[in-house]
Amino acid sequence: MSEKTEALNKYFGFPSLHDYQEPIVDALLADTDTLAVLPTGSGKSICFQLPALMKSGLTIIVSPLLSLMDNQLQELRAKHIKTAAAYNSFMSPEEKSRVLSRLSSLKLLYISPEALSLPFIVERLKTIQVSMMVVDEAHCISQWGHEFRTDYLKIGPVRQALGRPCMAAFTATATPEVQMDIKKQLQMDAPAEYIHSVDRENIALFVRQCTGEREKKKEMIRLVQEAPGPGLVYVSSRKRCEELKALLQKETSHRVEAYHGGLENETRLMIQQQFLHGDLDVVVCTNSFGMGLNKADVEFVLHYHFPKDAESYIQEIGRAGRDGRQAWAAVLYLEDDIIIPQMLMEAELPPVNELGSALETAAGSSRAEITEELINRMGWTETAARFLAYYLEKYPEKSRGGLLEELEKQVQQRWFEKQKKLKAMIQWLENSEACRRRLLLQVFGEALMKRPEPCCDMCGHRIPFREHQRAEKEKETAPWETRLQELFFGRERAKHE
Amino acid sequence: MLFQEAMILIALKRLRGERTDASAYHLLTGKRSSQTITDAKWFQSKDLFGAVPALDKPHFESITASFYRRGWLEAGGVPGAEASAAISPWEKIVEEAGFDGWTYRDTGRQFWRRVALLIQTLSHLYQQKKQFVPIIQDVQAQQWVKRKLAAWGPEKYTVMNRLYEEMADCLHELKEVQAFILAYKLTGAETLGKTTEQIALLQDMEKDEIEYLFHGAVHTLIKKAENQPGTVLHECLDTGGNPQLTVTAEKTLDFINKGLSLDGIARARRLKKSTIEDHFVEIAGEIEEFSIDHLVPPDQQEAIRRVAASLDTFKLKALKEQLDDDATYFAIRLTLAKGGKKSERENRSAE
Ligand SMILES: [Zn+2]
Repeated sequence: MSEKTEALNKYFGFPSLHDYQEPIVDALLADTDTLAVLPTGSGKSICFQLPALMKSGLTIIVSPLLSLMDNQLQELRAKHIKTAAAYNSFMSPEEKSRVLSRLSSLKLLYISPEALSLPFIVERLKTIQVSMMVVDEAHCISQWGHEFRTDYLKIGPVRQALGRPCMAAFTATATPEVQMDIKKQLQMDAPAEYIHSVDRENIALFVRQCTGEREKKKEMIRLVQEAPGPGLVYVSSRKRCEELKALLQKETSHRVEAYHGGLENETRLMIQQQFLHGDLDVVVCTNSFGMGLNKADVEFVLHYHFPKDAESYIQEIGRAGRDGRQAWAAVLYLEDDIIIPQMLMEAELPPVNELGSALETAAGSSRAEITEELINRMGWTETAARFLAYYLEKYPEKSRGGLLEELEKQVQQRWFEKQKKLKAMIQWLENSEACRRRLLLQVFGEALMKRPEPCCDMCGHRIPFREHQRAEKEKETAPWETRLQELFFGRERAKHE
Repeated sequence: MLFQEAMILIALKRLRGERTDASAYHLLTGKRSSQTITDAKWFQSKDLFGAVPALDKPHFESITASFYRRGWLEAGGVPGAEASAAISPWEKIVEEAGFDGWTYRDTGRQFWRRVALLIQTLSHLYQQKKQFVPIIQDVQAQQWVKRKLAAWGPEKYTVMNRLYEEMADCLHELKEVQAFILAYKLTGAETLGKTTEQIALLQDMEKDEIEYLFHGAVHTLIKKAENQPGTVLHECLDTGGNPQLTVTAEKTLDFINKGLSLDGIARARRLKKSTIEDHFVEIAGEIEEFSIDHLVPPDQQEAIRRVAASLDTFKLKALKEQLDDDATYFAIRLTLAKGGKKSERENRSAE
């Protein structure tokens, strides 16, 4: 048995890697810079976790989302891998210092880009051996990426400061432009590239044109009722999330729950677990759900509201059919809905007419203070505040007038790019002639090599609903005595007593 | 009537028009202020402290406004006859729920986290399922469970059986619906817990009420565990600390213990004298060993208690009018904080 297979067995309990994982693991073990574009849910994390565990020294994993970090850590803990930890701004001071004090015994450190850009963190990391840096969701680094994160731009310089350890970038969605940008910003030298098609052949694609909210609701109920699930329904806001959940609970025979940022942590975790475990058929969610969630048997992803660009769309539908079985994705398209991504995009950028007063607020403050001020006092979103803070730091020498001009230019530029992407999304939705799969791939600079069957509505196919299993759904109202026994001893023993 | 509405009326009834309506709001949401903490004690309303934590102020105000309009609340904020009749079944629920947010809000949360995580962990080990996502993410609780498992070693299955017996006993003593809530909140190796909302749906009850009954059940469990050393549940208790004090009162207590006077503390902490007085009142009510004799002469304390009992009121102004001029508001509040509970019980039974 090779050392690799042995480690794979020991840590993860798998006998072998997939064909596409193998070369990535090998490249990283050989300290080669690597860019990997892999579809979501294809077991990408193991590609860097395994080499990280095998190498001496620490691997830093830069991850933009708390939920992603949490999920990966939970999975590692469940596998009894204890040499992994996270560091982010949501942790208490005690938790943070506990992590820092055991840095030298860690193999994997998940860190937010904000934390990694703190000077004292970099100083601490300099004192230990950092053998590899991994950037997850690496498209965030790009101006062209769908969620530009200014802190990502600091990763390159930090890498330099840490003695240029091997660098790996992972993403699920990256157009050729974005790929170029990633390589440049992370200062990768002739990286090994593993670019997989974004096409998911086993997900059939559908768009339903609707003329009003009522029709949309009716269509949603019809589709959800006909599908056995499990499935996800994406909506834009917490309020709509709750509203549609209630509607589906009433109008379908499915077990339906809502998932959004407004719920308590414990409730969110519970619902996520229930969905994973098969206690729920449908989750109505905002786009915060599903990040890093590994559920293989999702039958469908239904967009009640469509996302702001093709990258988000690919990422969200990518949660269906991970087990390779036939799955489907559908958008309920209402022309008026365009206002939703418009508003979202507007909120992601600093309002131009407030730039002047924002600069006044920001004068003389630290970066963290600025961000906080802008969010709390001026009601900006975090993304917008970060945007401004970044440019303030980038141009410390510029006069106020010069800065204002530069900022306006940058905001306009970003607005233009976002509009362009939204327009592409709308065109895709409104298309009534060409194959949807071919058009979607075009956005990512790919050609359609093989048309699957079923492919899409334009190719004349119907939604491939799965067969309803006549399995008995869990009886909820067992008396508490039985339930308590089950909790401790499992169903079998509880049944016998 | 909705749970929230009933709780508001009950709170106002308990306050007997001697406090503002806002005091009822602070009581129900469990505000951490000296005034609310002492109110909960004086008006024997620990079972309402933090009973509806998510209630927001505008909503509270619109509910009370509509009660005034309907005549359910009389001027002065006391429920009228019709309202009193309507809330009587709810008062029974409160009486039987075992809820005591005043004493157990924080310790209750910690206790439940430990119990829930312990049960999840033990059940996974027993059913030989090693991989699971802890349903409790709290690091302290996780470390506590880890330490306990290490300490128990191979005995852990015996411990699990004991814990099962203890839980079954406790749940039997609870009201049926509360036993149901606890059993369905918990997560085991094969069975996932339910959210409060899901349980509310199953029981066809309001979410707020389920939440209240849930905490009431947890508080009952703690009370029982406290009296039963040697049980597994007793081991789940958090020992140490005076969690009932507000952080700021805790600081004042540090200064008192260093020997500073009231004025000295106000200067040292750069706070108003009245603020420090609030802390003293809070500490007096909270810590039995804290004597107020050097602040209020014992015979004056006696006089205050006597007047409070004869007038059957905690209204400071009314008491002050009946007492000598040298009995300050501060002296009255301190005395009531120390002895409020005792005299109140006598009052209530005389009603
Ligand atoms: Zn097609």
